[in-house]
Amino acid sequence: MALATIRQLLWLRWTLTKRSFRTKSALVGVILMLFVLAPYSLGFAAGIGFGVWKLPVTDGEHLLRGALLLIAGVWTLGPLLGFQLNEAHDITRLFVFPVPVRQIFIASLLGCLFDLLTLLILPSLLAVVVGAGTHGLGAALVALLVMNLFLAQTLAASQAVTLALQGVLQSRRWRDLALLIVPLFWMAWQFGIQSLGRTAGKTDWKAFLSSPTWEFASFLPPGLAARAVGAAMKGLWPLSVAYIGLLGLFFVVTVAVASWLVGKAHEGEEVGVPAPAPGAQAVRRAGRGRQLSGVPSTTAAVFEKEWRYFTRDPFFRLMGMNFLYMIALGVFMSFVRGGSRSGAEELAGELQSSLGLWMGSSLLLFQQTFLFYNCFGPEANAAALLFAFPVSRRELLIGKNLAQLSMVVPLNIVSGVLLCLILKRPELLPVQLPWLILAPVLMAAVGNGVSVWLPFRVNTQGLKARQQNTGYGAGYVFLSLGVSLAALVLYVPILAAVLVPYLLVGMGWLALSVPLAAAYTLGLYGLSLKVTEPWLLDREAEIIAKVARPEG
Amino acid sequence: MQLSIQARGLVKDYGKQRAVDGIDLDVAEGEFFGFLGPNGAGKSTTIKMITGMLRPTSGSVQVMGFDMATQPLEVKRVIGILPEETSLYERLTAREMLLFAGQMYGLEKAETERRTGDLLGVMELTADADKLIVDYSMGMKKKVALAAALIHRPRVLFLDEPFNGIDPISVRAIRDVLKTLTDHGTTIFFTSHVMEVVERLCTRVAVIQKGKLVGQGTIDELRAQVGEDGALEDVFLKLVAAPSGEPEALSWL
Repeated sequence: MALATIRQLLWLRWTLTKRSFRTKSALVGVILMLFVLAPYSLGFAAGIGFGVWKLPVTDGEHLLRGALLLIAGVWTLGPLLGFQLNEAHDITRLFVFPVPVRQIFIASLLGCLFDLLTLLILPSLLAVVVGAGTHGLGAALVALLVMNLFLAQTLAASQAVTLALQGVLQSRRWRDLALLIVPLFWMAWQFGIQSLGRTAGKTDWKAFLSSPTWEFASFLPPGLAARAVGAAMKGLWPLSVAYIGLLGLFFVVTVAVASWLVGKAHEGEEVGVPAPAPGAQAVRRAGRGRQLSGVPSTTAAVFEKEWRYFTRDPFFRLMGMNFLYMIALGVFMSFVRGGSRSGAEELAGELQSSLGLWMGSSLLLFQQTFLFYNCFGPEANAAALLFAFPVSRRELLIGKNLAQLSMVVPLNIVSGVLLCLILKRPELLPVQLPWLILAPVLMAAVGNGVSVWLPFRVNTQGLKARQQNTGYGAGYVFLSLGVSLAALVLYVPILAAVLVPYLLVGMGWLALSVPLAAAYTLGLYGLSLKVTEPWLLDREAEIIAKVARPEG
Repeated sequence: MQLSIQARGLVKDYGKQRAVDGIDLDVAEGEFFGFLGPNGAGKSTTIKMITGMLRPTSGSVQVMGFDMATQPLEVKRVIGILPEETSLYERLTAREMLLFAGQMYGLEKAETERRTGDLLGVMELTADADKLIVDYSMGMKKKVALAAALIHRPRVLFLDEPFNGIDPISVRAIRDVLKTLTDHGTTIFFTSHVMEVVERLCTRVAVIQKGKLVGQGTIDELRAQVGEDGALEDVFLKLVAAPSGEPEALSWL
């Protein structure tokens, strides 16, 4: 009976996991992810296997400690970073059935084997067994037992963390926060890897490996697993058994804690959710958002609403994070480049810094097209409300554009100044600033038309916040990309207005070319408003259908 | 008779499927008009077409004499909409939402603030007025959406299942508001599955089944049409030809 129930629960998990890939885009996403991650996974496995096989046993054990610690860390934090309201992971839905909590938990643990993350880590565990096997059959058998125990312990720990925070993870506040934490984590990870790569050669690894911190970390489950395998490879069987026992004890305690948490959830308690203080969720009325004067009240209302959304909506927060990421990347890269310049390579260095500057600012502007080229996407279901107002569509578009520009232009000015100063190219500031100020205005002009004709739904459910196609198929995406690329021609006059004086005729000409570029940009913006207003009125029903989230 | 809503030959096709099939509607000014039908009959699609949220495949709509196809902004100026799926700015607070709506309808700031306070009070939302709407219950969201639809004092109000997911106390509060509105001459176009409420409030009713109107008139006229003297629920079931009796398939129950 118990086995039949567990089999049934595993069938459910497998079916729900399969069904989560039922759309083409989801399937393509997973295949792409596998293509990207599988080489890392196999490379990591090969590295561990080779290290355990060829390195001196003590060094191999240290390597294994580090590798297993990394695996356990990623595995335990993984559910937190990727958590979303996925029905396959939500075991609380099973509590309505007369199934013992114990069986639900066991099925939940076994069900983790269907997760992509688990599949990617299995080669590494197998490589440890193979590597240990080169030291004898006994070591291979111990490694096989230990890796299974390590896997079970890590899965149980992962489940315990997920369950402990389930109430928090499913809350709107956490999902909002996670949208910021996840990119921050990956940013820190990327910069950390880059920095490590540069400083690894200078680090005294022997001192680190004998430090108390490393010793302490080695008494956590991954360390115990590595020690058990290491002792077996050295033929120290009683010591190996002792470490296996300690690892087993950790497993038992973890399972007990996780089971207790499942039991709590079963009794209807939301573990880890602090009781809300009365009025704690109220928005401070002092923070009334940005006010705009000197424009029609409807334009001001749209402007203020947009600004409130910029600060409160996860989609815009994520977009803000991406802007910051681009700036941080530019700054980081320029620091890296700055260190390698020598007097003999001054000219090459200048060229490199110029390229870095233009690439940094272009990446920043490219990110901003997502804001301007789909200005109705983030409205989602509220688009029906927005278009129900009897407002002049011109005023509506101006309100949106003013809000977008008032966010983007100051950011661009700060970024331009920062990049020029860090790259030690202050003379490029008069070239960069007009470009970074005028390009977004042109973006708004082009974006109004693109937003009306090619609106996209923006998905901010769970931790995913991406633009997604809603109904036209792949052709729609290509059409959107094609229009965006074709629109690049319109940017050429602005670019020429700043580059021609800098490269060919002298910086003094900027005094003439920049106002001309500004006139050109504003003219195009005015034309865009005139053309887009009737388009918008005509296509509101289609836009609502495209950007609204599907029911259910 | 001055007409508030006049729809002629409304059709909506989704691919090969016809969701609404040539509907003609006449709703007089000041009427409390009930629009009934089983799930998937085409009620929401019809309301969306009449309010300009969905483009009809063919047919025309006039609201207060304005043509929806050629004078959409004039129509929107005189109507208020409470859709079945509330479409609010959920990252605004209820107060901010109502102030925003008032400004968008062109009300003076002081007047918007006065009406916002009044509506929050009537809807019993004052205590939660400064919390984000995303944290509200479904019933609270419905009340905010209704308040936003009322703030400019519309002449025609469209309500799509306004009582879904709302507790009895709020139902009574909303019902009283609606009653006041009709007393002041507002036309209400209303869909609901709660026949009791329809019977109590509506002056005229239309019934839609599989995209076609199968009945239109006062409740007594509908009774006469189907030869049924009972409650509106019985009249409705007869009009949509719902199967009756105990389902044989569930005999094991």
